[in-house]
Amino acid sequence: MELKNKTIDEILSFLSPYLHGKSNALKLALVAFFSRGHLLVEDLPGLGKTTIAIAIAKALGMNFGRIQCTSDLLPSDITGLSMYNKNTSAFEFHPGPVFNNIVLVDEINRATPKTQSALLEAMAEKQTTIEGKTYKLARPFFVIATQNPVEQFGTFPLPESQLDRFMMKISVGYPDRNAVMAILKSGSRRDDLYDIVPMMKKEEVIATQEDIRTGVTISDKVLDYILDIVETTRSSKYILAGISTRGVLAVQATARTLAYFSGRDYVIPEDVKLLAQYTLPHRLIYREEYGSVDKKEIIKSLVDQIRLPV
Amino acid sequence: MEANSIRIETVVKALTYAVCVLAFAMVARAAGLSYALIFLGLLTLSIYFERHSYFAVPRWLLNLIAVAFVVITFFRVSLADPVTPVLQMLLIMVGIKLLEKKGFRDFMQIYLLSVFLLAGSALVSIDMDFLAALIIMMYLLSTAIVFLTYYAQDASLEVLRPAVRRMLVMSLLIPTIAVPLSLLLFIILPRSTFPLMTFLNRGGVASTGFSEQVSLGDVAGIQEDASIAFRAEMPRIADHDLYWRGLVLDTFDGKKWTRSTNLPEAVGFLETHARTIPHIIYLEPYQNRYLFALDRPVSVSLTQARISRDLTITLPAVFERRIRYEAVSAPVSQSSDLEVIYEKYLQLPELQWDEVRSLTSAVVGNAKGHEAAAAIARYLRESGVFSYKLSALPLSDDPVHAFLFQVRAGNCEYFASVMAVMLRMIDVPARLVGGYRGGYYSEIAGYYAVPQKSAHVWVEAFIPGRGWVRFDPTPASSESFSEALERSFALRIRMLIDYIQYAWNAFVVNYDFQMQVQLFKSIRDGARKLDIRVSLDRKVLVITGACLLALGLAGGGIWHLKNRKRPEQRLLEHYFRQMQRFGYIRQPGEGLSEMTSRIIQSDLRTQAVRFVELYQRCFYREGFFAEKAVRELGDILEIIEGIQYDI
Repeated sequence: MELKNKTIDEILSFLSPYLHGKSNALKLALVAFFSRGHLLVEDLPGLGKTTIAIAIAKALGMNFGRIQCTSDLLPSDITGLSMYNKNTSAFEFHPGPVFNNIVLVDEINRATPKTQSALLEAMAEKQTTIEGKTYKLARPFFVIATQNPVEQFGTFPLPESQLDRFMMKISVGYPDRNAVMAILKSGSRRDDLYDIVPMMKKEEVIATQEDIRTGVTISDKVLDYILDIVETTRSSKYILAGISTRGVLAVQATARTLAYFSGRDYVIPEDVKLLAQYTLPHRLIYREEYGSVDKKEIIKSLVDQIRLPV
Repeated sequence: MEANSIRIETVVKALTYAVCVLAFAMVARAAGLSYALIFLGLLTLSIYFERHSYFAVPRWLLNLIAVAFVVITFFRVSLADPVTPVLQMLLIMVGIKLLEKKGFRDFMQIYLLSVFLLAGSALVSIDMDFLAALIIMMYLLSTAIVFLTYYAQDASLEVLRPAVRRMLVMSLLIPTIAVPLSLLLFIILPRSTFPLMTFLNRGGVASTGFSEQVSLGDVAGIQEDASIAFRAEMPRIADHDLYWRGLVLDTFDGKKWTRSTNLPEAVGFLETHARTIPHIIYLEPYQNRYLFALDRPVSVSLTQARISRDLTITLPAVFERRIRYEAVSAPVSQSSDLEVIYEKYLQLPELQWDEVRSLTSAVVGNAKGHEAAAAIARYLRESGVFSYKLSALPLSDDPVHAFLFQVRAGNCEYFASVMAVMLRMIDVPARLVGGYRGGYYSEIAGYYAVPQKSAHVWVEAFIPGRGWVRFDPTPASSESFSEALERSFALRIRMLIDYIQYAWNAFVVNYDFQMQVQLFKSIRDGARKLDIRVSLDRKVLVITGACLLALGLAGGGIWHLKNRKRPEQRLLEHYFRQMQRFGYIRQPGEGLSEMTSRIIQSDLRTQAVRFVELYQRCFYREGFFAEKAVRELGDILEIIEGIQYDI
């Protein structure tokens, strides 16, 4: 298999000037994207979540749509709706933002459950049904949803079963001092992003996704390792409900992508381990008494105890 | 076919041919030249057919030939030699079997026939090489059968070379366990008191060594023959006592000495209080019935053996196998006889020996008895007139005269004969004793090895009041076994080889019911007394030690194979040790590349990353470690070893 990770590297290095100090988040976002999953970004406002989404969309030559969630947002605002056309005397379908390749769903926890589930159905099925008609969504289809962890009034937190549909959950975090300094000096470069020339064509992106899915070997030893992790989460004293089968598939898919990004056509346990803190914590239901403990840390300490196969 | 793979059929056939050749090598001598040639012909032919497999001899034809051979053999078997024809038949059958187009059954038949051949060879002669052949055969057969099982599953199977190597190692494990076990069985399986199969074992083909008579000038090859006549297990004694008595000769016809059988002996004893030396003799068969023992034998452990008055030990019949017996001797140069039949020991041939007579009286002078005998011995040995040599011996109708007055040189037979004749002339009863002189002492094993070339003849003279006194008139008789020779390196090696041979005979071939009982008794006594060192004699210690060692080795081998680390494991451990040298210790949940990312020193990190990447590629991608990768990993480790800690 010819590795195309060069392009990935190029994308990363090309975008980093636009995303001061957010290259790790960008990389993780790309992992989720190429694993054909969806990404949940949990962070405070104003840390560059939207920038990342736009950057990915533009660099990969994708359409980009954005939904700002509010409590009065309706499902049809996401999926689109049919309107009567006087001239043709027929209803015309106006596709909503969900028909873009990359959809940024801002503050998803502000939307009502009804709207949320319309979105989540689209994410899971990659299709949407409007007025009895089923429409295929664009390919590739990638949702970046964000939620604000602090503001809890008037929100509808996503239930665990819906969180499970996100392949990864990341947070961007504060940029470091130097990055902020750079931003202050030159201002935000968000606007420049709209003018960049795509580095990959849509077909290339789809081919790469396929390459990753079929071309990266994952040996039994690594699968065993994954299963070890899964079993540990299922029997851990901190955790009430362990990782679902969908979760296992997500772990496998993201590990493949990370291996591919590292220029390998085989997965090593570190791929799994490194991503565990992004792929696992949001899928688990923790015992109440440990609710206050950082979930990422729980997963980290669990995974650290598992022997790597060498 | 891939370059790195090998057909299982090739392995099976190669092993089969090895088995056949080994079996053939063991019986080739017994089967005779013509059969050996026929077998070799069949072997060559079948190898040729293997390579050009377009032609196969029809099976019915081969079966017909085989049946014909069986019938022929049936008529050739005789009671005198039942083994050889059977061996010949088996050999030919193996050859014929090889020619056939071989299936699983045919291979098994070939193996069975080969085992029969090997077993048959033991009936002909059971030497050290039999043990070696047996062990090799065990290894070959078990390996061959393992591979044959695969072959039976799929004849066209191809296996990668490393896999073949693994299979070989695994199949070698079976006999490695079996050999020490069978050794143990050898020791504890009950023996019959009577050797059942001895009548078959005519082997070792008895060398002609010592003859029943001494013919002057009729030199046999014996004095050049370095092969061992017998071994005597005993403590080291003084060289001048090393006379191994064989038979006594009393009648001389002028050319040869013979042993009179019908003349009676006088009786009457002198009490001797000499110390006695018990010793165990392992006597090689030499086509005669006289036994040897240290001069002068007092008793012999064999019940059939008889010691006559002249201290000649005889068996009722010629023995054809190596025999072992214990003898007790008193190394004195005189005997306890009081009386002697004078006419028997004063007999002289009817020859005109005036010159000899006058020489005798000149040599003896007025001396009588012992002094006279000593004077003659001195004259022959020390006067310098006569020299010792083995070639160009005085040959004539009157060798005594020729020796004394013309050639003045000869071997021990001449010196002894002349002395006996001279003694008889002055009416001192005299006789010749044939036996061996000297021997090489093996310090490790504690025995004398006496070669054929040490065969010797000396004189005994009867001195009233002192009995038979030994005189050795041969000048060179002390040179052939000098101590300097004993110290030479080549001889030491020879003695070592001889010791191995001796041990084989003493502990394996002669391991009989009696020894078994002795062994168990001493073990039991040892257990009872709880003082094993005292109660176990050396032999028992050697045997049990060897068994324990063998078992230990086998156990160790199994343990090693079981706990053997795969090369990549060893490499990885080596890598971790090196990393530890730099202070990097892997945490339980840490991955290899995680660990390398911690490394600060750049040259070390470069190599560590190289190592880890290659290792992971093999481990997580290929799933196995190719030889090339193992080598490369080793090379990287060497580079890492060379890196200095850089502060």
